[in-house]
Amino acid sequence: MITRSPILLTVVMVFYLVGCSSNGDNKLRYLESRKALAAELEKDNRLAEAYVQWSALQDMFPHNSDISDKVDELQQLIDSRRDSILASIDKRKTTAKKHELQRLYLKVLALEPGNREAIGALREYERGVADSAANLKAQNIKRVFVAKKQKSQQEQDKQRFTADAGELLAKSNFSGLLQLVDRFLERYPEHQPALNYRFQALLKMGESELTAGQTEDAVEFFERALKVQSIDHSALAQKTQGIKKRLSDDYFRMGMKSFKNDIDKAVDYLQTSVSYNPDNLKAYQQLIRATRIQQNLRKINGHTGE
Amino acid sequence: MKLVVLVCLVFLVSACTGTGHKILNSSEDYTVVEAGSNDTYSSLAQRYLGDARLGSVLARYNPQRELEKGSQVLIPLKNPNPSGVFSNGYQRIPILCYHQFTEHKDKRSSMVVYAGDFDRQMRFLAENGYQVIPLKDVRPFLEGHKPLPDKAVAITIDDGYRSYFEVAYPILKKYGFASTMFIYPDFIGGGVGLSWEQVKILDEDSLVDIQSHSKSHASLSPLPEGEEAKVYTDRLKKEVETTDKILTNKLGRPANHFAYPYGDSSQELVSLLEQNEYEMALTVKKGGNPAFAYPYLLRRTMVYGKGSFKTFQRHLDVFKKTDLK
Repeated sequence: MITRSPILLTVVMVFYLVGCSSNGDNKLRYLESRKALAAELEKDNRLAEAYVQWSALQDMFPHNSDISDKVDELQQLIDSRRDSILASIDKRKTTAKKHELQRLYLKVLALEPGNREAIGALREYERGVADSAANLKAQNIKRVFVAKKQKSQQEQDKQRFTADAGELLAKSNFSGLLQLVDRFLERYPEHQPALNYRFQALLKMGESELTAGQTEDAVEFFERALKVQSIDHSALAQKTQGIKKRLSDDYFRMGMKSFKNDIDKAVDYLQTSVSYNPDNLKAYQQLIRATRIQQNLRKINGHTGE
Repeated sequence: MKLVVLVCLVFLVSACTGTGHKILNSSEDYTVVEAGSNDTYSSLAQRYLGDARLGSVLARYNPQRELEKGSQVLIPLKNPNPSGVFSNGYQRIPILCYHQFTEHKDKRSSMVVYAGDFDRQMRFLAENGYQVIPLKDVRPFLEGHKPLPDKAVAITIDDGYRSYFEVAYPILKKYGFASTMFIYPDFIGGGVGLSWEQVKILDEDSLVDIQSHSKSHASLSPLPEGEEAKVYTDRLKKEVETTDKILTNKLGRPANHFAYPYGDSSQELVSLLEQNEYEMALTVKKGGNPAFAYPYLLRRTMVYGKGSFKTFQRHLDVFKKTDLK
């Protein structure tokens, strides 16, 4: 029917061409607007985005040599900048910090978003960071585990010590208790219950010596007890002080007794008396006197001897 | 004669006056169209890229913010930016991680998120241009095959608590948000865990993806007290492969994504997952993932029940701004 009516065929063709020419106009409009956009992007240094615009224009106008030239020109600019950054990376690979290299690779991708070398390097970097984090976490877990295990071992040691110490105390085995405590304190020197047990053991042993009349041995135990740290010693200190005063007086009397017969012995006794009570003025005066006599006697003896 | 007039009208309509768009150019790499009156970036993305969420990707390559009839739109059909790196920074995808939910505000705790808070968080995503994507879309992004929409976020839920089904799932459905649930079979079917029937119901929903969180939820780092290499490998195999067998038996397919229990990973485990054709594995190290992230040690950010709304907003780490010109 169409071929039989040239007028109608013409009408159809006109409609068709109107449609086509409108499409052509629209393409030209697209070309102009995108060229402007690409130029703006390039001017703003957004080269990869400009490249997409030019590349799409080349796709639409494959025979337009201006566009092809522009695509080549932009590609060369991108290549040259990329190569310059990659060369800088190569140069600084051993000296630069990781985050500096990471930034350079990111700059490569900003120019060429599909660059495999940069993606690979950044992925390795990401993997390294994640691996380090995982290893650090594993090490921390291990450290916490070891600490927990140690704590648990310590708890067990302390529980066992408390039980054993309580048993020895109940049996009044103070020397055994002291040995146990001293061994335990070598490992846990700050353990307060052990320090309390040590004080208690030394106190009981001193009292036992005191009861047996071994006053000096008692004082020795008491003085060791007084050296136990973190304990309130005030009562024992007072008690020990009293005993030492008595001992000082005893030794003073013994010194005075020996004064006439054995001056050396007298000096020893008086020295002991002063050592138990440095405030014993009488003992101190007699010690000076005895020492002077002792020296004179030694001089006389020495002179006679010549 | 009538037929001729009709043909003429068709030409005219197709050339000039359609409400649909007009194609200016089409090739393997690009399509250029003139938008019709009903077109949006999303509708064009759906039509040409098969995913309406990629509307924001089209907007990247076109100067006009809003489309109107006659707007000329460049549609790159292949991903022109496989690394997601731009001159002003680079794209990242935050993967959020939840555990339990409650409908009672007073029962929230660090691991239990109150329904009202969760709804507020999801509403914020919906109303502020965030695109919640299925986790499976992250792998093509990492491979450079498929771009991600701007402000893309993925949602994951660990363990398989029943409260996901009862509290979170209806909220996610309300917003049409995809989520991935990492379950460990030892937890399913007892106590506060989902039943296998519930897991199956969820698996049939295209918005939900069921994946592996090991079999027993034991830490999969080497034992701190030391562990022989073979004993360790066997333990890992049991945790990974047994779960796959169970999932295949229950859901008809193995897992291809893995969430490390407690976020604990090791190189041996990564190798095993690769051997078993897993595509991605997730830690709980917070932060967004760029396209060049390592797929088997992806970052994931925990959302705590007692965290503030501002903290939640800070977790949405979708773009790292940095001048790369």
